[in-house]
Amino acid sequence: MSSNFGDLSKNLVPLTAYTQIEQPKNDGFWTSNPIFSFVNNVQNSIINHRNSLDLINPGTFENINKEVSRDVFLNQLQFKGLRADISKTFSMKPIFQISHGLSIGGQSAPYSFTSMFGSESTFIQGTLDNDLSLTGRLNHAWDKHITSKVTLQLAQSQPAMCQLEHDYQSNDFSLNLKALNPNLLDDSFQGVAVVSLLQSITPKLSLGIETVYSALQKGIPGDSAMSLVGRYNSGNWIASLQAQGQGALVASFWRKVASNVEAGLETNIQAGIKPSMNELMQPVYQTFIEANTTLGCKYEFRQSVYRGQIDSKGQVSILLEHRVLPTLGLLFSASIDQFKNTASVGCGLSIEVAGSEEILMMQNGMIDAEGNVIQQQQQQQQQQQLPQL
Amino acid sequence: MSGFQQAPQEAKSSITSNPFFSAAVNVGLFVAGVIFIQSPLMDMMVPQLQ
Amino acid sequence: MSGLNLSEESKERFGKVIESSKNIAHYAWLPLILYLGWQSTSNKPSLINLLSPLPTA
Repeated sequence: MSSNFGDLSKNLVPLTAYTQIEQPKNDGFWTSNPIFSFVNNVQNSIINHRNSLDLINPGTFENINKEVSRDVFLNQLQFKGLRADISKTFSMKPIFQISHGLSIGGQSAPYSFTSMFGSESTFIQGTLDNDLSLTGRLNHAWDKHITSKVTLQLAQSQPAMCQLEHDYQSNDFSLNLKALNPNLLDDSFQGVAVVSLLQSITPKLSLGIETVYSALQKGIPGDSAMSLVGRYNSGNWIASLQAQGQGALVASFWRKVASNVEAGLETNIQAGIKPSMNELMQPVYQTFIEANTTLGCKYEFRQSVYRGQIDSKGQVSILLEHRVLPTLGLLFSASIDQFKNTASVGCGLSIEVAGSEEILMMQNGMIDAEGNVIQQQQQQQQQQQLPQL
Repeated sequence: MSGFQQAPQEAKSSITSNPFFSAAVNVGLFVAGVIFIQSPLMDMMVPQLQ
Repeated sequence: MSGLNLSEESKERFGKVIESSKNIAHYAWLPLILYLGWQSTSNKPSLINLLSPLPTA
């Protein structure tokens, strides 16, 4: 019995399972048995068929619309007020960097200290701000396919947050298990647990499912929600659709217009129920639908990246990043809400200093990341690859 | 004059107050956006440098 | 989903362990990264060089 289960469980083991399919021995009881030989045959033909499809890993569930929401849109990069970051790099392989951040007039803390260390298998980062609140991240890759992640948020006056994550990326699917503040000590599980699976169906199409179970307060039964997603990647354009269990529908579209221009579009429709009063002053529940569409584009040049976006709620934002010198970058972020008549502006400066001789030479373009001396000719070639601006 | 203005406003609000109105508008915007991004108009927005 | 059936006493002990490991993580996280990074560098900078934002090359 165990040998059959062993074969079945190999479905979960990537690459090796497909290349070295062990033919079951024909003399064993469990394999000569017609039922199990049938099961084994079906399983082998499924594996062979899966191999013949030439599927690729669909990426992670979180990154289903990464090209639009993280690369083209500037929501995650936007800031207010003045900011300066001074980062000091000590080595590139493994990477080790510290940085001091200063900020005025924005949401971020006035001072923060970040240090980051990354070797080939482990990445660890921590940020401590002037309120002594710590944000930590630890990723460890056990092998090419299995990664564990820990995210911590510890502040002195607020409840701690700890997220444990486990990623399994096969050659045609990605499985992700996540637990937020898990508590097994009480009579029932408390916290948030998320399981998501994204599977390539054809080399271009992938479909995914996610289940969230959350029980946040003691004594109140937890609730669960299910989301379904689909993603179609056609080389130079990508479309994705997410139907989220909380009653939201997100559609996105991305296109690489030219080598240095990308355009993205996202529509978000959120349905819900809100309590309100009717004419007789009786409480009634009314359904409402909130929807928003955002169109954005990103221009990349040799020394600068320009991003701009406009949404159907009247918000127009831009973010400009310009590298003046190899060690000095400027940031400008602005947004105007045309309907609410509000605006915000942010200016930033990022300075990179060297902590060792090699890094200093690298910053001046004398050696590359491998430590090889760069020839003048190579340097010119590299510079000609992207248009100057 | 004011009555003339009031009437179309009421008619408009009954359509816009329908929760499905904004959903339909945004689905329309999405389709228009995809057509725009795929159209030669977007290709014309590529900077011609050098 | 039922949790682990623990007695009140061991629950309390677990609570203390979790509380102290939180404190350890809070104050040892950055020193750990700095140590891991420091031992991977070629020039082994001093603590002041490690923390100061000025270039040291």
